[in-house]
Amino acid sequence: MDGTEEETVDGVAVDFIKTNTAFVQLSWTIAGTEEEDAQENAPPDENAKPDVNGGQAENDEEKVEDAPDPAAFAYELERADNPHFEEPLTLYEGRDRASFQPGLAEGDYFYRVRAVDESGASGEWSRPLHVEVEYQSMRLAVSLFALGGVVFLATLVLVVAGTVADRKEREAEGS
Amino acid sequence: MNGEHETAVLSPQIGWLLLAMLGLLWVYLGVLWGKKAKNMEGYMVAGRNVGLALAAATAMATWVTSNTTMLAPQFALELGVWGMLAYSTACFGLFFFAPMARRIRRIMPNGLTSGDFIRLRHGKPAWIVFLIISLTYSFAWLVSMAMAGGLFMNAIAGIPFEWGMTTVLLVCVLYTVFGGLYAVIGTDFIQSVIILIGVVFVGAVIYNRIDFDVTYAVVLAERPAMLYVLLPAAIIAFFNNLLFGMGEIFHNNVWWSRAFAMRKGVAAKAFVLGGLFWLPIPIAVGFIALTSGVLDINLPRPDMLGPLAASQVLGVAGAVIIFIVLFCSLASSIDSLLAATSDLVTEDIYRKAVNPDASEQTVRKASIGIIIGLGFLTWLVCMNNPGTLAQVLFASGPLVGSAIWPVAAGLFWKKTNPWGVFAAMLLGSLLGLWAYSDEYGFGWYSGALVGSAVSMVITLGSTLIWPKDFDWNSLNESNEELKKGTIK
Repeated sequence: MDGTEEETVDGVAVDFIKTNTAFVQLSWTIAGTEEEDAQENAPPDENAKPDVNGGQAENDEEKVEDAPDPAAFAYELERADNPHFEEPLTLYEGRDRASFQPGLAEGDYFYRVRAVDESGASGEWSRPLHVEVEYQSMRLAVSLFALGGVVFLATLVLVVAGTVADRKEREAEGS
Repeated sequence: MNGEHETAVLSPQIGWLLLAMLGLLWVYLGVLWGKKAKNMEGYMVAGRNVGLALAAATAMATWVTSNTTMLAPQFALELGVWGMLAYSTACFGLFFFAPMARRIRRIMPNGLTSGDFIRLRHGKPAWIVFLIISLTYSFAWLVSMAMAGGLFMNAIAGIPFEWGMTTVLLVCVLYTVFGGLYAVIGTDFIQSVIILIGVVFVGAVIYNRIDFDVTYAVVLAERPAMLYVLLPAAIIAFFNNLLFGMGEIFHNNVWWSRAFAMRKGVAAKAFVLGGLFWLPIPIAVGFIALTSGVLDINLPRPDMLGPLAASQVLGVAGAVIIFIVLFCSLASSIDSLLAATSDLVTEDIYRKAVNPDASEQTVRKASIGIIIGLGFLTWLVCMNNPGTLAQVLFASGPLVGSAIWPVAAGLFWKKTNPWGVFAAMLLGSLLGLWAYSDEYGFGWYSGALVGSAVSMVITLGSTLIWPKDFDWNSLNESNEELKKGTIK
């Protein structure tokens, strides 16, 4: 991860991260809760925050007093290949407040989340999170794989040769 | 934990009941078997008389840690099919250690710790670096396992992370304090049987319920990178994990204490058998990761897949089984690590540096205090939720990778250069940590690989250029005061 940045894609303001791995870890909470404060200390790329109340609380005191309980809501997580979420894919509906998304091919992904209360009323969608997946170079991967193979084979030779020598020592001691 | 996960198959009441029953059983067995330890040698190396069945079981059970049951699926999730295979390569550590254990037993008949070997073979500078490496790794392993305890209990039974983690640690500290290595190896045997039966059962049920064609189609459509055999991170991770596992086993006192504890002629067979029993487990649990798309499970964290998938497929009965299996796999490793790390600190730091004239009774008290202290420190770190299991454990990869060649070359070669070994561990660790860094290096899946490669080049080069003769007899340090002493 290279850290979260803000950017505009096709006229839509999004948070942006770039990764060279095939997965992304998402977590979210309700804007204006103590949990949100706690999550702000986490790596920023791990947060996507829906805002069911339609805006940030003005100060910390108000946040705590008026804070909704994040556990009281269900959440809906969507992914699309564009910032306008045309033809979105619903990835999760439920009460968890985090989701690990594996198996991502190289490309651009957009995620958004919203809260749903017990009556079924939905809050607004969070600001989209734009994830760009670009794997490491194959040259680097093959070079490190070859290096690992050399170390493995060399260690094998060391242990096998050492074991043969050890057996000879034992036989010599025995005779 | 901030309540990311909100659904559990078992009620907390059932979870607590299972926890209480298993906890009491292990503590009772710890007290019972602990009575066998008449002196420090009995407490630390189980009288050096452990037979093949117990020896193979303890090797397998200790290696089936939470890391196998919970991290192997995470590997498969993050790195796909290569990740699943990469995790299973950790068995090479046990296979390679088998002949080493036979030699260790022969050239150090009175040995107690891996630290003893490094100090006597390579001298104090290398020994200090080795202790830092070993204690850092052991602590990271302990933390990752205690965290796993809290995570799986939260996932399966909704027990708050803090309470689950605290209880697992408390139970393991208690029975390790009472029983020493006798209790650790005895409980390992029972735990290994439970783990094998549980994993085979869960695997068989999932195998019968999953349609492989559908699974393949879903993974291909929704998570294509998991089937991508040319995923660069996975290609790098393959040998990284193999070398990480090798480094873990070669250097750590958990394995050396077992080598010292095994009856003559048993060690090599026991480690090979332990590796063979272990091998199918990461493949079986890793395969669950490939099925997670079909099972329609939301994963709040990648390391929660194992318990969540088993609970989803098997319902309440399955959740009870997986709860017991996971508790056993955790306990069998935490106890081993507590005992072996405490031995390392007691023998290498307390007896050698702090209080060389300590009586048997004082050493035993110090050992108990160190076990309790280690447990408390682990608890303290876990309460601050330091990261995912992979992040916590693999941060120590560069360190243990750099210990492979210093240990193996020191054990088999007469002319290994001690200063070369010192530099190999130091530079291997530093460059491996650089590689581990996401920001400056290649990522967490490369640290052990780079650390071991650097260390190999330096050990090999320094020995070829500046060979230094060593007298093997100087490894046979007497521990008569320990052997003769009787615990009051």
